[in-house]
Amino acid sequence: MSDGSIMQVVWPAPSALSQGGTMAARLRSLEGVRIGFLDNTKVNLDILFGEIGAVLQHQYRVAHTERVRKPSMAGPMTAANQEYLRQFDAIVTAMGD
Amino acid sequence: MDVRSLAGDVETVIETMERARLTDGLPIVVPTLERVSDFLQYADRDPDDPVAVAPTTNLMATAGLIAANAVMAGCRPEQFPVVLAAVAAIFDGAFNIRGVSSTTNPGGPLLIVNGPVRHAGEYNAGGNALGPGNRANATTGRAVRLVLLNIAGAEPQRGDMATLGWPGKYTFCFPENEERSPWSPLHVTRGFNAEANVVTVTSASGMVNIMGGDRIADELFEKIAGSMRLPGSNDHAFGRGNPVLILSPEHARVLASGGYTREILQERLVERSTLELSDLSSHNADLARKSRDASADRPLRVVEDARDLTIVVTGGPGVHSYFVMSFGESRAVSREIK
Repeated sequence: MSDGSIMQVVWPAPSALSQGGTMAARLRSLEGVRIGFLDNTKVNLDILFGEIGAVLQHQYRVAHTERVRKPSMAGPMTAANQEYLRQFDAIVTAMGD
Repeated sequence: MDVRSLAGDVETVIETMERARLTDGLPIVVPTLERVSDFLQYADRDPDDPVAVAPTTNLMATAGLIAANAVMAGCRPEQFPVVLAAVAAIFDGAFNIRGVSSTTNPGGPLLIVNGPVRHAGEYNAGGNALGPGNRANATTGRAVRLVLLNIAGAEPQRGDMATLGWPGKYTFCFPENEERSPWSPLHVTRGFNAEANVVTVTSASGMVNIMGGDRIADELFEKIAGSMRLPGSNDHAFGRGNPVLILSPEHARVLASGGYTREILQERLVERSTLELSDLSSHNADLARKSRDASADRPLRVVEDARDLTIVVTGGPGVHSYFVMSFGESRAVSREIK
């Protein structure tokens, strides 16, 4: 029930935009781009990412796809992983269970 | 600070914030500008003071944002400095909040408080230390959960993909019962002065109750070691966590009187709680082979380095202790409370 009063409330959730962040620009087209797949070692990831990579190359003319494996499923990628992935135009970051 | 004018009485504002998905499902205390300002004044912080960046969202957790979440959790100002230190700890890279927060694993942060702030903040290290009945224990852990929800993107089934979750994700915070521990306090073993106020965060995915009024230390030891052999846990599969043994004062005293120091207990428990690769299912064995140096002739330890088995004493009279499983890929982090 509202009694018509107003409360001054501190909003507990910031937005990326409120802190000066920006979203990465979307790719205009998949044609000719390089896409990296961060391999988080999940079971059957090789099959799924392989199939997706084939579809991207054959149907959407993606120039190159490549899997880059991080050391373990639950841990972060290495600095070397991160540096290597910079060469790609887009990255698929993980596969869930 | 982002201050908004919301219409209505307290119940209406609580409903508004719940509909905006800013809560954990329980009712909140409204973070009015006045209440948040009181918290900031208590801790002598400005609203825009940077505390830590959430690795999951790249958003800065400022003192003002953390204060708003601490008010919502029901904290008193006296608990706010503990919350500030805990947030800085969970956003430390070593804690691996990206994994802990987003995983299908049930886990979340566990906070252990050491130092005089346990008394000043009215934390309960006695009976029911992990249960209901104490505002400081309950709300400090809850405040960190709300920070995860509102700043670190851990919205259930969007950023937090837990299959089941667990009740410890609402809140999980307790102080060590330093006065009834036969050993040095946890924070001292982690390099801090005894007089320092420190919060240690570690990941927790579930617990095993260890029951019994044993008076023979070696028998109690064997029972604890057996309770740590868990073929389905992340710890034996990954081995890079900080699982926690929470000993009741009585159990700790029995072990200490039998000659067990914390260091001896760590070393022997890790040695005694190993599993063979063949004890695991083929799937988990495969995970272990991929994730750690696992082979048929090398037993799987719950942690590689015995010092990574955290041992802490808390609680009241009684003969129950806990083994707390970890995420298996997350390091405990301690921060001084200022």
